[in-house]
Amino acid sequence: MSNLISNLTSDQNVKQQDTKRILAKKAAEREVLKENRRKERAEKLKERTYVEEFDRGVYDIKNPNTYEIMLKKGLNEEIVREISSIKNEPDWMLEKRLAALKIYHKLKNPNWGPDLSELNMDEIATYIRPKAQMESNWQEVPDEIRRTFELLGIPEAELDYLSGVGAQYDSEVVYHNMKDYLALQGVVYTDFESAVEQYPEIIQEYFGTCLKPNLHRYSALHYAVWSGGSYVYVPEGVHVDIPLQSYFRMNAPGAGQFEHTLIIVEKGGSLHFIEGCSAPRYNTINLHAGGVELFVKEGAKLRYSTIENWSRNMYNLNSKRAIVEKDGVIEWISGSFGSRVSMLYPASILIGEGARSEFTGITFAGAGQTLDTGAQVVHKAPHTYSTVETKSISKGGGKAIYRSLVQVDEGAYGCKSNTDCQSLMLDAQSRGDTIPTIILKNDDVDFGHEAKIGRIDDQAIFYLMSRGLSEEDAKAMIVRGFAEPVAKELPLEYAVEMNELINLELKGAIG
Amino acid sequence: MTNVNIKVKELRGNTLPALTWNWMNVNDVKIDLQNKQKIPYTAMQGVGKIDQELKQTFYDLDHGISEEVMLMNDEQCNLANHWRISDSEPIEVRLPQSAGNPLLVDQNQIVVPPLQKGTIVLYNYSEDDSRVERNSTILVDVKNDAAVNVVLIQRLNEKSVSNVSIVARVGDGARLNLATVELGAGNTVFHYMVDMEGFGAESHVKTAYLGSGNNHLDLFYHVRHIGEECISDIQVNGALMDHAVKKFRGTIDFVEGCSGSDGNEEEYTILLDDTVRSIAVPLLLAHEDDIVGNHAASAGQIDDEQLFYLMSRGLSRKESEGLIVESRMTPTFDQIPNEELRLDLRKEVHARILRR
Amino acid sequence: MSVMLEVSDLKVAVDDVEILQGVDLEIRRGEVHVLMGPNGAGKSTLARTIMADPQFEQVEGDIYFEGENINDFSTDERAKLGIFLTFQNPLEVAGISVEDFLRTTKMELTGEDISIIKFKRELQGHMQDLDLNQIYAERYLNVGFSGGEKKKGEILQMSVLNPDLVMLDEPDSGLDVDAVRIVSQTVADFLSDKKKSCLIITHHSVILESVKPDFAHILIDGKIVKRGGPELIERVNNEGYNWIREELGLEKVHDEVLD
Repeated sequence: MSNLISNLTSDQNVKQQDTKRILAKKAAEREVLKENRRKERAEKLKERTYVEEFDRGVYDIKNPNTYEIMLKKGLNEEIVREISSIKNEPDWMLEKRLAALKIYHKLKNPNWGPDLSELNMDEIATYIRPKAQMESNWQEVPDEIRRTFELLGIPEAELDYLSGVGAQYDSEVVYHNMKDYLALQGVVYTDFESAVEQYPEIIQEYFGTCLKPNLHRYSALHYAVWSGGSYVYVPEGVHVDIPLQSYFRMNAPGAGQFEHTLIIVEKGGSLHFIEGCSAPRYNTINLHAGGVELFVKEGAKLRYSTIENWSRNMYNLNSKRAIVEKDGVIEWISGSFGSRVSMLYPASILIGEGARSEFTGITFAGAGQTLDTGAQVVHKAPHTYSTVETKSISKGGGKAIYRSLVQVDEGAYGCKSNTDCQSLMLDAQSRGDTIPTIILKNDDVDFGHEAKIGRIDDQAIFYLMSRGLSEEDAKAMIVRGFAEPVAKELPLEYAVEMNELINLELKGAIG
Repeated sequence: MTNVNIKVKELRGNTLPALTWNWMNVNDVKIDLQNKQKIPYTAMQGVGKIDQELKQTFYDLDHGISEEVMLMNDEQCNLANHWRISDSEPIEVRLPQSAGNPLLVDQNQIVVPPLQKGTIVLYNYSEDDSRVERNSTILVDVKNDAAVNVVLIQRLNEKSVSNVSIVARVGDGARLNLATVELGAGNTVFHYMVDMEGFGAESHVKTAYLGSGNNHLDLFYHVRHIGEECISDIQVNGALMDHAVKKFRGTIDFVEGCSGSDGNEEEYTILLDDTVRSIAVPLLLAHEDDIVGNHAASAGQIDDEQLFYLMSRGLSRKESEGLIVESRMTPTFDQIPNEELRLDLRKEVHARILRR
Repeated sequence: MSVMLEVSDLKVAVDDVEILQGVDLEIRRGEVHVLMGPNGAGKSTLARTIMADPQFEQVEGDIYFEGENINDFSTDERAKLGIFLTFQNPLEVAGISVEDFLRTTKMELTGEDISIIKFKRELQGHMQDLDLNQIYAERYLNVGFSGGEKKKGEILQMSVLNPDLVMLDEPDSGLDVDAVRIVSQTVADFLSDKKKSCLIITHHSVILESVKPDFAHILIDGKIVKRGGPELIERVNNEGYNWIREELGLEKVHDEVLD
């Protein structure tokens, strides 16, 4: 018996020794493999140099800070009343502002998404009136301000391929003009203050009904201190064949911009609206909390394009929302390049049968940026359709987060929805997250979602280099190709601008 | 019996590693564990002895459905198992529950020593129609170059509550295959979290579920790529009928330094009734660029063309639907070594669809 | 011989576009009919409507099988009556093996329990006839099959399920010469007892050398514009459809492809 045990023990010993030997061998082999694979990967990834800050050319030109009015920093009832009185507003608008302010004080920063703790409203001036009146002739706009817009190419674009332009400088619109033939067809395109004054019934009926003040903290803030923005009205059956553009420029440091855009496209009408934004860089925090409300009526079509290039000291907490009726179409084209932190998720509420939403977006997050962007679609009516196509690029430690919602409600039968989101990471310091939510409340839906995340395919670089491109050019070409689905949706000149922005961003990343 | 001191506040768990809009109610889930006492479980004797050190290692990690649920598991534990898996026959553990065994609070440790391979099946089911609760933790430690198949089958009745937290660690060149079958419990909360720490570690998950009646299923996966060149996939396939609600929340987390990793998640839902709810939150979190992450999800009714094809061969509509749902679950069922059990599950799925 | 299938004044639409504009067709027991016509004429639509494909709406007309009006019969009910259709692009069903699928279906059709062993033997016999590798039975239905394997699979299902009326929708397209011969022979053997009927949609004549057709119908623009015997098939094969268009005063199509 004792023999048996000792045998067993020695067997076990042998077995244990075997195991140890095999393990040691495996471990040694693995070390070699690890070493080799690391070398291979290092070879692939090579050392890259990063340019922390780079010249963003015309976007960075600062003007001296001379203002007619600059309210003191901070937010309270007194300031809200002051904005209202400067604008000489009707009482109902002041009421709305005060109600929104109450909501703002009740709401907290979201417990999800980017960190907003750095943003302190006590340090933000909510209203800054430039030394300028609103003009409809560029020559009347003060030289300094005009020069800024000229460098941004706005007056030139107006001549070449726009049918109307609005230009906002800090809190007020300094230029607004539209081609006469559109006015003759009943199209209205004006700054939002003029709209409140001239079309009070319409504004009262629509204002704050699509994008509600209680949606989140910064939509409440927007409604409390809104200033500037655009109002567009496209009458039934009218097709605005050439785009309108509103450009928002922020010059003052430590300030906020809160423009309100409200667009109504009546039955069977169509419009392409372009929104551009930029600001020079300062070392203080700036805030942009605009509000966009879009009403797309039966069979109407609205394309809303945005190229956003805020400076890297901007918190861009913008809210955009469209209500789409029967057979109406909303198309969002969204390019997010600038800002320190962005939280932007344009929403389409499809309330009429056959309504459609198409979202195409690109986000490019560089060093120090956290761009949390995406889209929301709520299918509330049967046979409504949506597509979401997004591209995210992150580099130099930038964070690009794709966040979305697709919801199909009870009774919204026969809906189709397709999402495709791709993220490209240009280095190991960067982050790319994908956070989609899908809520389906009936069975008659056709839903698909695809997401991909990764780096530039070495094979693709190899292929292009084998045709004679430098590695840098090959990578740039691949990134441009990646962005192409968005670029092709933009008017040519804007596609060129976007490609320039990408090249500008890439200059720091690849070298 | 000892009273366990549990706070009265509502239990919540399975919190997303990256939160999103609160109003959508997908950041966490309500836990419906009502039992406050320690009641013995008599259908099985514990196997082996719990390795306290191992337990502590896992408790140090942020793991499980929630801290409270893990605490309850520790305090109410009435079955403790410790397995060392070695190259041998598959282990099949039956965990029946009934009026006589209304509570199963099990702690399981599955340790797979280096170079070993094995399979373990934990099968939890109702024997009668009484309400039962389960709160289970399963720790899986897959050492270097080992491989294990873990199969979890859950078939409690509709009144019952199932909470299962499986937490795993996978070493160099090791592999964990997890197959889960969720065919029961009115309230199912499932949590899988794996740390792929080793070089070339792998985690492969296949889930099959059928939600019917008023079932509420919360399927939560958190796969962390930590070591270099780790490979993972999550494949979730299922069907929903009646008033069933399913939340799939899967995260593939590429931690900085997991160069050369590859992670995939796929979720397909067949919607059989107008009254179902299907929610999906598939996250990809990348803190590393030298990776490939993919996610695909789709949901909808059974394709008409597919139905027409099967019906043109003489199968009734329901029979065809049953076949298609069953076919989606096959990759998961194929992980079950016991053929009889496999057939039994197939039959159950089929029968439930035909009964509709 | 008794009439097996009767189609009268059949009008079929998809998304409100009328594809079949009043088709009449009568197939008696033991007969082989060929349905020919240019691409897009509505040949597959006719076969799929007879099989009650929900994507096609039967706007007008009647379909009778063995004297019974089957307008309201669902697809599976028609299959149970003994109607069978081969698909041009059979669907993939991952997770269900060919053998599992066919045994389940056969039991459903016959209402009898069939032993696994007996069925396996029968299936292997049919597979040999079609020159299909034995492993084929264990593969998932149509998943990863080559074009040829899919087509043969459809014929294999026909052999196993043993229907009375087979509708073959281009059973020969995309097959190599040997495969066409094998498929043709299997179909010919299947029909040899003259108790079954067949409707073939094809552009090729090879299959028709084995499966000798009794009648041919030419479908153009949703109508059967000409009927005849084997001589009609030969003429179409040699000359195409333009002479028919000419006879009927229809506009000629110049770049018609005869594939």
